[in-house]
Amino acid sequence: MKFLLLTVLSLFALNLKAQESTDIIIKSRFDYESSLSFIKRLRAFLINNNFGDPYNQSIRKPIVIDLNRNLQSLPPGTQNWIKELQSVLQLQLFESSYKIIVNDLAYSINSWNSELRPTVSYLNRVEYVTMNYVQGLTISATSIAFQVELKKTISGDPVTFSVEVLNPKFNIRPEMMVEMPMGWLTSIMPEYLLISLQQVDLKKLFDTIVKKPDLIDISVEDLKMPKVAIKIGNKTVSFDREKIKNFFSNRQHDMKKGVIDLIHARMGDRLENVMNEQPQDLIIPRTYALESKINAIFDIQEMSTNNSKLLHVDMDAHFCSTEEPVGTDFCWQNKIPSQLRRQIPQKTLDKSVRDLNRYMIESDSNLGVSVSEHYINQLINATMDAGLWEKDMADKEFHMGPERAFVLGEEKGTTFSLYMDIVYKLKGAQRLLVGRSEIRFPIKFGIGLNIVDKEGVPRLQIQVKKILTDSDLLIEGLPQYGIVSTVASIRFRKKVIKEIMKEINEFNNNILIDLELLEFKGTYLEELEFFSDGLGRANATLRLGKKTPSGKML
Amino acid sequence: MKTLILLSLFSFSAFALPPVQCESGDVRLTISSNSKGEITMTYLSESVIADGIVDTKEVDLIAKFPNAGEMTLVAKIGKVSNENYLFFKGSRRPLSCK
Repeated sequence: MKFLLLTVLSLFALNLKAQESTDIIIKSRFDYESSLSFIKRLRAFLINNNFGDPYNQSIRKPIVIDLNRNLQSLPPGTQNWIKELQSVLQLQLFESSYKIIVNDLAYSINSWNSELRPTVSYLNRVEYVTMNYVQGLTISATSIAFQVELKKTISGDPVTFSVEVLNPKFNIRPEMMVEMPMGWLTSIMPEYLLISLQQVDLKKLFDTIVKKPDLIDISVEDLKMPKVAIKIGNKTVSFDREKIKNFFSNRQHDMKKGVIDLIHARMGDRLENVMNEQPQDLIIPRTYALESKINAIFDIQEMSTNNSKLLHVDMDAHFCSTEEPVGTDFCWQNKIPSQLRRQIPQKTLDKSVRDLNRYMIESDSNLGVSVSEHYINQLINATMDAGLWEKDMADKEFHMGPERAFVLGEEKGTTFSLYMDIVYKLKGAQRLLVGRSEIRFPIKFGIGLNIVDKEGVPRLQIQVKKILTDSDLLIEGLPQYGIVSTVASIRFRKKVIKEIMKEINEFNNNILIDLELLEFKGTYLEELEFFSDGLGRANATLRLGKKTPSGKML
Repeated sequence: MKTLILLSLFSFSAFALPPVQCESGDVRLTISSNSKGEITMTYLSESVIADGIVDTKEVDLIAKFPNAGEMTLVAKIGKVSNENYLFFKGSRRPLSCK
């Protein structure tokens, strides 16, 4: 029984184990209006990483259509055109097989809109569909060969020859809107992040265009014909090149309809995924280092989507010393330490995430970023280690005490509480009057945390927005956070407090941290205004397709 | 006996709750949860799996209906409060749940 109780208690204890809140949470929620902006950036990213362009693809394997087999399944008009082609090529004279071979069938989308929808997720694998609404599309091939194989010849060997239409292009006019879904997945692997294009569905596209051939314009670069004369018994059959050429040039409308019908009929359900069970994969690192005045590390931990189709990404983040290069180990064992100031219970984190979910829907936002106050405190420590605070402090004889500085997201609103442990050096007459060489006390500011665009460069700025220090705080200190005040016991306390308050007030509107984030340029994280959710997290959301404060269109 | 105690403890959090009825003007919603922890929200004749929490004290949910669109709702069950609301079709409306 004792063992049983211990087991049960251990199981409960596992759930109650103190945890650091997830450092960074990224959320996305795309609708028809906002998806395009994201997909365009994703497309550029994929092209730049040698993935290829999902909106401009070709099928390497030739599509071979046996006309003997497929003729009956084609519409009557196309059957007639093929019979006429046989007549022009005088195929009825021979026992022959005839095929159409489409080489490098490709599509190139000129104009489209798209909607990105997460569908399901399990075990760090999230599947998505991009529903593309295409207006203006070109289907092309390097050649379409009408190939004839004569089986019975004088020599006994088959003779193969073909008439090739070179570089045909089928331009589908923008009046015709066609749907083209693509299936994607992302998967977090132990060492990397996999982005995979699993499906390109051309079936709906072909289903639509076969019905409206008048909205397809065809252009052909050239026609290639062999000089063939075939001897059957005593009879020599020569192909009339001029006649064949005229047939192809005068009957282009029939040819385009015929080819589209043939591909549609031949490929059938295979058009539902022209990837042919060979997904196109891109492997990218799941851990990323941003090296500048501070070295920041981001690691994707988990990805999931919920029933309401909000994508959720958890990221672990930390900072490395700038004294050594980050290297390949990302200083996992040697992070810049930061004291956990408040334990945020899991219930509070869950509520924070629910609040952000609701806020994203209610404000019609597409992207959300949520940062834990503990992560902000790691950032503060890293910037202090890098000497980025020294100027402001040195100007005022303020020196950081052992607890340094930390942020708490205590109240809902646009500002966060910044507490600083200050050691104030007294000099000359002041020192003699007070009877101390230094005094220690906490100060409190209401700070804004924003990423701003300054002359085209994203910058992380922490700016003092409110002075929240009062004489009570100076006297009583913050013993719960280890900042014990020595102000209470000094001589001429009121006068000293007045002097300190004067110096503190000079911090108002000062930018305490101004950090260039050059690597955020071109991402959606170029301009963000964080707000405190009152639950220990800093959140920012944005709507794509809107102008940012600096006038950029997201 | 041991197995029984263990099973009871494990299933403690997985009881299905009686359905919660919420009203906001002419919008009537039924919220139910099953033993797997899935929360189903029904509006008109559409039912979807919602995200969030529902217990005997409060509802805090988001849901995406294929036809009606997205909804968010927060309410203390059985209490009238200014903090109770339903967000639907671009605006917040007062909400009561029982």
